[in-house]
Amino acid sequence: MKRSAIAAVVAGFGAAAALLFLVASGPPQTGSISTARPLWVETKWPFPMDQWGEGKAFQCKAADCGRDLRLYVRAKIGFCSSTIGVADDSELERLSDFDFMKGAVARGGSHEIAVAWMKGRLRTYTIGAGTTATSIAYNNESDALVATIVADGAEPAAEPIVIAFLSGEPMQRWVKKTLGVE
Amino acid sequence: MKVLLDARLDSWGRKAGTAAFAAVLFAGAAVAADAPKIGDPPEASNMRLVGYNDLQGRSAYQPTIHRQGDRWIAYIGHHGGTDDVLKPVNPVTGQAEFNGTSIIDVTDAAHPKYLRHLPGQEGTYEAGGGQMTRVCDGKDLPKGDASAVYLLRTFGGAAHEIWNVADPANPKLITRLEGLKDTHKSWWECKTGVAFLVSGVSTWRVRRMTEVYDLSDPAKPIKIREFGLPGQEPGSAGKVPTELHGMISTGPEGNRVYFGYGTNKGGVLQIVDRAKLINGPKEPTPENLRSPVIGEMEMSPLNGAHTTYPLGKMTIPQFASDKFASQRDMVMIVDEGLINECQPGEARQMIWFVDATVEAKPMVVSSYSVPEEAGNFCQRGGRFGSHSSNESMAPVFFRKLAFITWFNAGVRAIDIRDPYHPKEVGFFIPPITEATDKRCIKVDGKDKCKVAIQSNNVETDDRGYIYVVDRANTGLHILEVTGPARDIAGLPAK
Repeated sequence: MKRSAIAAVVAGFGAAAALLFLVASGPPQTGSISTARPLWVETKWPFPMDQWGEGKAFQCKAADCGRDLRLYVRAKIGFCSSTIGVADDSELERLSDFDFMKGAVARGGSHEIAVAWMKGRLRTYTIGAGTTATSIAYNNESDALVATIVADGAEPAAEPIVIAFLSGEPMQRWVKKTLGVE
Repeated sequence: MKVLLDARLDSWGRKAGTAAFAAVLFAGAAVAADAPKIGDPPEASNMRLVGYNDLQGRSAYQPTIHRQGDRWIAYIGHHGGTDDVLKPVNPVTGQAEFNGTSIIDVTDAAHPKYLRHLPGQEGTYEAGGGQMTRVCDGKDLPKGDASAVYLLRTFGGAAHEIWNVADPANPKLITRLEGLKDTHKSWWECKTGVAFLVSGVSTWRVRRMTEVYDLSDPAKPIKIREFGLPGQEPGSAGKVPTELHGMISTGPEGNRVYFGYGTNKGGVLQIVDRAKLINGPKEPTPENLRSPVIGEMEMSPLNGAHTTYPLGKMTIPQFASDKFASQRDMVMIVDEGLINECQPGEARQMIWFVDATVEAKPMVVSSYSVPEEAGNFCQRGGRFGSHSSNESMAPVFFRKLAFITWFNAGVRAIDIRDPYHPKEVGFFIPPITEATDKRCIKVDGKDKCKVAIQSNNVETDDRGYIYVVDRANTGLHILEVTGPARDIAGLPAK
């Protein structure tokens, strides 16, 4: 197969994969955040290479999520204790991607969450004026998944929207492939 | 493959070097490289097996070899048990015991005698056992009992303990420092009693940081201070710097402590003024944590700093005629590979040589890595990558040969006389046994397991023996160097 043909096939698969993430995740949200079905669109990973490599980046427009949200999620293989998991604030902060939310100041403690079959913790932060961030870390055995959601405005991203997206089938397919559990 | 071929020739006798036999060996080596089998001979080059002990089938971490009068005793720390065997049976007592510390008389290196198993904390893998060991004579410690020999060991992640092992078959507990989140690879200066303990104090933001203790009287420990990278201390916020792995002190004479942070990622080498660390302001504020630091080197985020082994001032052969800076202050950094079979999530881990002549600006000048293709190590099973070096500074090998464990590639002997150009001069890959534990990766959601050697930690003694222990329960192999490697050490020919 010629190189151009291979490139076309690869590009085709890439487009298809991107479309898979253009999903309607979870039930329609109610309340002040959004009444629309949130639509997450995959975008280019915007951060430079570091020890954890690249992950997945998504955007949800204000029209769909009530405000512009940017979500970054990646695996940190072997970085979590399989016995204690993401047990407390300290462990969450050790795992968190603070490089994605420079100057973040915690707004209180974390609380437990569940993403699909995995358990973890979520904590919200303020980044300067007018921006908030949410860090979510959860684990499968000794592998951690870390999601960072940056939102415009003083209110953090709605937890149900984000958890529903992370727990949804397209994301879980990526998680299972990345962690080798499928 | 050439290295493997050499290994077989070395192991089975170089006299048999006919082309036909070599071809058979070549083919055999290729098979063995992919799937080690029980009964295979060891693979070796310029290293030879002297003695062996199975360590009761326990996963092993730090060996410390100590001379006690006319005897040589090995104290070997263990990881916790496995999911399959949480409490291996101690054949000496007939009891199932949580992994802890094996105490072995290695005076006759060819016939090591298992003296005692000292149980450790309940738990599997790194969650249990008693991984770390250091030993000091009471006569060396400023306030020690001159008749005592003290073993400092970790008790799982929960505590540090000191035992009197003057009679190594009947240790007596002296002290326990507990209430910790984690412990690991500590350092104890025998002449001063100052100990740098890898601990997890609950208020700190990392599992592992440093507690500095005065253990000059092991019965009365005195805490000097807590230490870590700024941002790890209680009350700090934001990004948490890479957690500690271990450190090595050069004592009051050298007045430096070399800290290594990270295992397989985000490594940091930190060079610290020992006197300022011990005597400086102790409150763990960012300023006080920075105050004793002389130099710091951030490694590539793709590599960690498991062991930071100071080599001190070395004349670099190619600079010998230089009128300026012909001697360099060198540090060897050993990364730790964590991931099985070169799977995603980790870059290749290796060893690095750092020129720290200008301590404030240390710089990596060379590296060494085992060629993967020499043994198809990514396919053999388990981890492939560096883990740990010998830490003895006894003259027999110091600044001449370094021994590095490389998990499924066994232990490697590196000629470091020119640390700008390190080169391998020998290796030994122990054979697997019935006791060797499997290592798995996930393929299509299912465990795919292989049994492979996982040479974990290594130490040397003043006599020139090399002690290699296995993480996958294969035991202790006592080795010696042969051929050109023996010449480098200056050991008498055999």
